Amino acid sequence: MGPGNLSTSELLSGLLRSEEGSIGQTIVWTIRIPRILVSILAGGCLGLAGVLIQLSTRSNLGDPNLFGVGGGAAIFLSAITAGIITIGPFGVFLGAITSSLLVSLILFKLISSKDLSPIKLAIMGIAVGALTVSIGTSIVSHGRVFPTQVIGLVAGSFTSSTWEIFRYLLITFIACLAITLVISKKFFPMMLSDTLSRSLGVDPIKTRAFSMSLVGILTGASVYAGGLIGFVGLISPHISRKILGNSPLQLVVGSSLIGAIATLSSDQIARLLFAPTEFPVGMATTIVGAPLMMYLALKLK
Amino acid sequence: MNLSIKNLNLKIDSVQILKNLSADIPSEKLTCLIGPNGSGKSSILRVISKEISTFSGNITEIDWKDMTYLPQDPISPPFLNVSEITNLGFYGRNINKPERHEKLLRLLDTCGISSISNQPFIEISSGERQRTWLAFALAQDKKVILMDEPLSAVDIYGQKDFFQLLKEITNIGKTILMVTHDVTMAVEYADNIISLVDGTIAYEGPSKDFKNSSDPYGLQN
Repeated sequence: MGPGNLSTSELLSGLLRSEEGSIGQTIVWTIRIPRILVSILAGGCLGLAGVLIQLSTRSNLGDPNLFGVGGGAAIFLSAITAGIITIGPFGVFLGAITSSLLVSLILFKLISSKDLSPIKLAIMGIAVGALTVSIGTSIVSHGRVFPTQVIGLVAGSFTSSTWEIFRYLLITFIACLAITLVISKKFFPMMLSDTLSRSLGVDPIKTRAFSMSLVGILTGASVYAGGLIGFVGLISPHISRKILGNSPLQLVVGSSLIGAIATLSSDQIARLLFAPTEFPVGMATTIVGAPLMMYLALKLK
Repeated sequence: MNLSIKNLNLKIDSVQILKNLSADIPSEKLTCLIGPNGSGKSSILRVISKEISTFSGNITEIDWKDMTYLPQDPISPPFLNVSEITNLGFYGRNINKPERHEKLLRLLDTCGISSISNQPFIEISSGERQRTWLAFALAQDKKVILMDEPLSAVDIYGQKDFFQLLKEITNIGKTILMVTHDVTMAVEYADNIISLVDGTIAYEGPSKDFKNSSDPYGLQN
């Protein structure tokens, strides 16, 4: 399977580490498995970030990458790619998270007006999204960079997945998931309106600010690992809602799982469909996600 | 215990909305707040429920924690059904699941929405929506329910039924303060009327005395 053709027996022996240092083993353990795990975790981060935006803002069109949160990290990573900033791998990871966090908090400030409507939020988010991506693209085109690197960043790619990236993602995802599960009960009243939520004893502004911070961290980590992958955060909560139901706990767990599955399978499609050439994983998610967003917009009341 | 408002003053953007206003809202009664647009009806509810905090004056005897406020036209969550919304009213209350379920069924029954309990909120009529919000408010089990124009989109038959329901609810020990633009209905069904004009009170008292009052609408000022 895959561009670096391995037979079933090579794959198996590679997996079982029967032949130390063989090509099979190297491909499986340093390329394939990290890539699979990273795409699963990045998808989990996006699914979780998506459901956090949607629950905390009551907008069912919320998506961390369409709304520019991922664009924050993309700007930073563009600067890294273009050679404007030079730091170590952990610094890159931290920088990506911090810059996404910054955008998510700016977005939170922008939508903190009294009459927050799903449509207003979507328009605001898409404007912020367009802005961040164009800034990122300008920076990256300023440096002398290979087009594939640029595409990997703005359209998503897991080709450079490593065990190190996997570890950073794992910690981020587990920590954010645990925190979300602890506060997930607060999303019950948040489903109604800010006023009613307040009357049930949950401060909607604080809950939203906190959720958006988590969105920033999760999205930054996913962009660090796989670039901008649109629509996973948007569709995962919807699919989860259909399968598991409306309770916040089910949505949080379900959406993370579905994000993971969707991203893993999109990446495998992107890798194998036109092998040996790969196309960006973000294209695969967009082909499914964009029509679904149109459908949701049509149903919006 | 009555809900007492004393010397309430409220200014928004240098416009005086409420002018040294004092009133008593008797407990376990239905009180209707009437008055023309811009007279300050909704502002009173928002001040009492602490939605607005920039006022001067006192609200005494009942703490705002013992009240629940239903704003005009609460946003309709797109995917929740009637019983799920009602159920949200129990949020934060320390009651076990079976008891909660039993209470939920009783509330749906009281509010006459048992038969539509599984219908999505966005697909039911305006009258049914208001009954759902009322059931939601009752699930919170607060002493006072504040409602802002719940009947603006409900037809006359639905309005009568709704007022009947409100009367039943005051009989089980709740105090209701409701803003309405429909004076006829208010006079017919409410125990008490507060008529507001330009941020001051034109009439305050039992609804049966409203019509005999010299200037209940405050037109002579």
